[in-house]
Amino acid sequence: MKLLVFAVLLVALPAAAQTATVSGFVRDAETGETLIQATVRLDGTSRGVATNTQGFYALSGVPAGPVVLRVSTIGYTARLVELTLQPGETRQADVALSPESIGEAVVEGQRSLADERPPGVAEVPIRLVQSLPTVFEADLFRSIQLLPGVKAANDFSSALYIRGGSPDQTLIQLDGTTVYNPTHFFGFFSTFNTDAIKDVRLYKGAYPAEYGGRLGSVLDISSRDGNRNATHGNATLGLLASRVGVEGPIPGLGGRASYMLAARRSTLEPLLAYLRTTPDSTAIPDGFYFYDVNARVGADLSPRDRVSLAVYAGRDEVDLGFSADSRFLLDYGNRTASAAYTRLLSGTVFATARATASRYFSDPTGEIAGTVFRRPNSITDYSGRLDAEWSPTPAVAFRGGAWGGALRLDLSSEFNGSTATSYTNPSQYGSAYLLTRLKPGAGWLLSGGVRVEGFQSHTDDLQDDLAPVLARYVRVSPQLQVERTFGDALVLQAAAGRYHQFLSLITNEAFSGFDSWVTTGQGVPPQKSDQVVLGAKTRLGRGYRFDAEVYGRTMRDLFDFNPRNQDVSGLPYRELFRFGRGYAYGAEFLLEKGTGPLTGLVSYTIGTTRRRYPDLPGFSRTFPPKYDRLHDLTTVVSAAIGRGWKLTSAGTYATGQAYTAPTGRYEIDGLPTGAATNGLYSPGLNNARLPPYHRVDLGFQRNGRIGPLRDTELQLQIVNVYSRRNVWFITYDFDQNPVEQTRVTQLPRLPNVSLTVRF
Amino acid sequence: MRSLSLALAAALLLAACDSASPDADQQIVVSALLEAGESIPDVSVSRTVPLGEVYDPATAAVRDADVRIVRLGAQPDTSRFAFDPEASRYEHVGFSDPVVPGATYRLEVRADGRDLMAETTVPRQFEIVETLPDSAVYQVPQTGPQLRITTSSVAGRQSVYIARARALLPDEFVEVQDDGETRYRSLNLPGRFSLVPTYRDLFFGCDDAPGGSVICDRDPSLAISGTSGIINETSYILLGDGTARVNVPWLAFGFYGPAEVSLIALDDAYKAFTEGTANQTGGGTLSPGEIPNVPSNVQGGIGVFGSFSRVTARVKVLER
Repeated sequence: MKLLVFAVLLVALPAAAQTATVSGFVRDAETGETLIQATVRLDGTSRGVATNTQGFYALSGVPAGPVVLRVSTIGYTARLVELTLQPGETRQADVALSPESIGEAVVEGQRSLADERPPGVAEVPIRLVQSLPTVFEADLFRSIQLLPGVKAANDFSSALYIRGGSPDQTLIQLDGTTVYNPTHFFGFFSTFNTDAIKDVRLYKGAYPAEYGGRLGSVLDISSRDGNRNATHGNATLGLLASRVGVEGPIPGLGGRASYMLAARRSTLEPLLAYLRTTPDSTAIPDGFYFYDVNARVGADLSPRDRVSLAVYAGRDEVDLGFSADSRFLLDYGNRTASAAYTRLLSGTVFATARATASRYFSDPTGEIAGTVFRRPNSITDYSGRLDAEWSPTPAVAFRGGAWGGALRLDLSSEFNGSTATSYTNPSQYGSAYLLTRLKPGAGWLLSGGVRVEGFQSHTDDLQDDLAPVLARYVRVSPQLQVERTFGDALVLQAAAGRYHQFLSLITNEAFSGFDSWVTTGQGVPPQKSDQVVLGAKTRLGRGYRFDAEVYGRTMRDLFDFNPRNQDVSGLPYRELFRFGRGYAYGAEFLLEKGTGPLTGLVSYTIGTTRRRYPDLPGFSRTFPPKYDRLHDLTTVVSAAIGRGWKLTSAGTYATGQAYTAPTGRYEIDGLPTGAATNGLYSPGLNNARLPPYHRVDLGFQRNGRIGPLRDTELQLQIVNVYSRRNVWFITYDFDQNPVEQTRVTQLPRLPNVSLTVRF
Repeated sequence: MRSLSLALAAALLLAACDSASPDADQQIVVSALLEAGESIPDVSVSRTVPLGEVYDPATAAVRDADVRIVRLGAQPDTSRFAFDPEASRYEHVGFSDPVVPGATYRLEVRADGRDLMAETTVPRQFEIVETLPDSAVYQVPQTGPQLRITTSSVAGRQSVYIARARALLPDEFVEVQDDGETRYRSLNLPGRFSLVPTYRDLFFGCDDAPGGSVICDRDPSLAISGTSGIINETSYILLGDGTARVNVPWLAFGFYGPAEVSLIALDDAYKAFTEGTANQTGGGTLSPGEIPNVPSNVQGGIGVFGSFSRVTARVKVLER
């Protein structure tokens, strides 16, 4: 430890000469939005920093005298800022950048290798998300599924399977607030309205110590602040849902405050009403809708102080009547709120305090032949966190923080008038982290951090009949990153870390409306993962870049719902779960062209994931989970094709998913229940592969005037152009002899049309 | 038809080679379930059949196995079995003592040169202390007719049950061709009872037909008997005096008229078998297409050698 402190000081001391510090915020000149990951550099040198998630930068060790700062970011015109600094001076210099022309197709522009992302990090340009062909709605998660290392389970699910991890291994945060069930339409697409999003950052693995609580990855989403200079609005009419949005400066505050409101609601009612008049309308719901609302207000209290409040509410409700005494109702959704206060404490110290609240609820209720069953569950999470950054010298930066909160799970089930499960699990959690970033010499970057996490919960049997037992776990999660840059052509990166997870998700790949979260408890320790990432990022000439990463990770103490349990009533908490382990490794390659009239990317992943549950018969031998695929190849091409039209296409090829191919069948008779029971036998779980998956989607987008509407965007899209019937799974019908096998296929060819009007 | 003939020919060929060594993937399947207080049951010994082939119990049966069941204890009692070609099962030879609750039994099978073994401990018997009413109006009360039972017991865990309801006088149905499709028409026999509305409209897609009968998309005789999944004892209303109140859900009754309701307490092997077969039908938290083998207590093979205790009551379901 002493050695580490000495090394840090050694690096820091030379910079303690007569220099100055420049810090401030970088904003969009048109809207006043802060810009994340903008680069602020001493012109003509490699010395620079990037803005943080608040748009703030601090550049210390700047030579006194006249200097020129070069401020740039993707999609904006770079700007040179001339300053004359006194020795020891700390200067706040806020910079506004003008966006490049909107019509230009941008997948991702060029960024200096010196400012490269850490290994395992992907940025997701919202403009690309909005232009990709999609089923019904532009969807953030389905766009992320195109990135290397990220897999989709099937066409019907927007869930993210990242580097061998299940969806619950990804921490999903909106404005610093955890979102527990980020889906609409029972998992078909994600809750996030792309009109309301400013920035999306995906940490696929070996993520930094400022995040925690998940084994695998982090998806950090920031909503837009709103335009500080002028009021604007938009309205979009789509096949599934329609959206409206409005943003602008808050009157009377002199351009120092803004608001943003974006709302979306399904508009399927007329279609459902028509379908209910058709002869075979049993499966058509009597009612179905979803909505979500994002709102945010932000204000500068002074040049050094900012406050913001962001809220989100989303809900899905379906009412499906089968017959006079049979009905299914489902109501589920999320609410989040986040209040943040940021302050520039000095030229080199920046702090953010945040209070968050998040609630997810699900209330499925069914009635069949008058027999009523219900399974409400909810999770309520209140937290507070404090983060601070200190950049004392150009070569050293520190980041630290603490996060604590209270979590409450409620889970109950009722069947035919009896309560089978009634369970409340109050939990408390806390964590603290410290990150150090060192630049010991030209081209080198070392980053190390440690996070200490504690989680305690009161768990008992699922009837709450026994006295709750307190289970407390404290875990230490270290992380390390090393980076070496070689000129302007190559950067090599390595990162490793240990991660812990105190929650687990009970879910179904095909339907997210019943999702329930559970926690560690007595006899249920936290899940653990060790990760290693090696990466290389290169430039292949103007506009082209090529990234390669190799990853490996272990997964231990996995706990998820024991699929054998048909009735959990009265079970000790530990018996709710099966306990497993696993591993994943692979390599990812990304070729991007980010500038010019034709942009796009090609991503390829070769990867393997395995799991086993040693104590559970049928799952005790190592097996590939269904979402495991050896090869994943994705291409995205975006091109201006004239007269205001832009073409975007996305193509995917993947080797077949794992499934269980039975080799034999048998029959068990003599049961007291009467009829014989059929069984399938296979030599191993998920011992075979479905046919390869491939699909091409096309989208045409036109920006411009339509009649009296001056600023419009028309999107015409076709999903699955050649209607490839990709197989989802295979069913076995024992009513037929021999057993009849049926391939259940995924989405056929689907059109999509939307029109957006901006004002 | 041609493929069916080929499959049948293959099955016949398999039957002719009964003493041949099985494929590496072919498993020996045994099944026998002991009921507390009843005589020792038949034992089934068969082989798995390739998935694409026709399943015929007579063809799949292993005919030359050596089968015996031993009641373990200070004075072991061995039951021997002989193959019955008519039933394709092994029948108990000689006198059989009733199955003793709480006792442990071992099944020993030698078949195809393999030794198979399994054990079960029989759940304690339990009783009905308040039986079902003689009759109950459908969906009155909404939670269904009630009975009260003493609880069973299995060492080391709470008791678990499955419930079964069986219609005793359901109407009968015959296959008819309707626009080229096979459907099922009720005979509307006197003294027989019709489907309840949910089963008629939702599960079997029935329409009214001339003469007061109904015509259905699926065969309603499948609704004569219905079985629940696993029910833990704590799901019932425990009354604190060693008894539990059971509401029999209306969902269990497919037909109006007299019905027999059974509650069956399971041993570990039968419980695991029931849970495992449910996993194979999908749903739950497993990914679609992820089909684990059914867990088995049979060493050297698959299947189930389990035991149970059972109580039965009757009620007549009346139309509202």
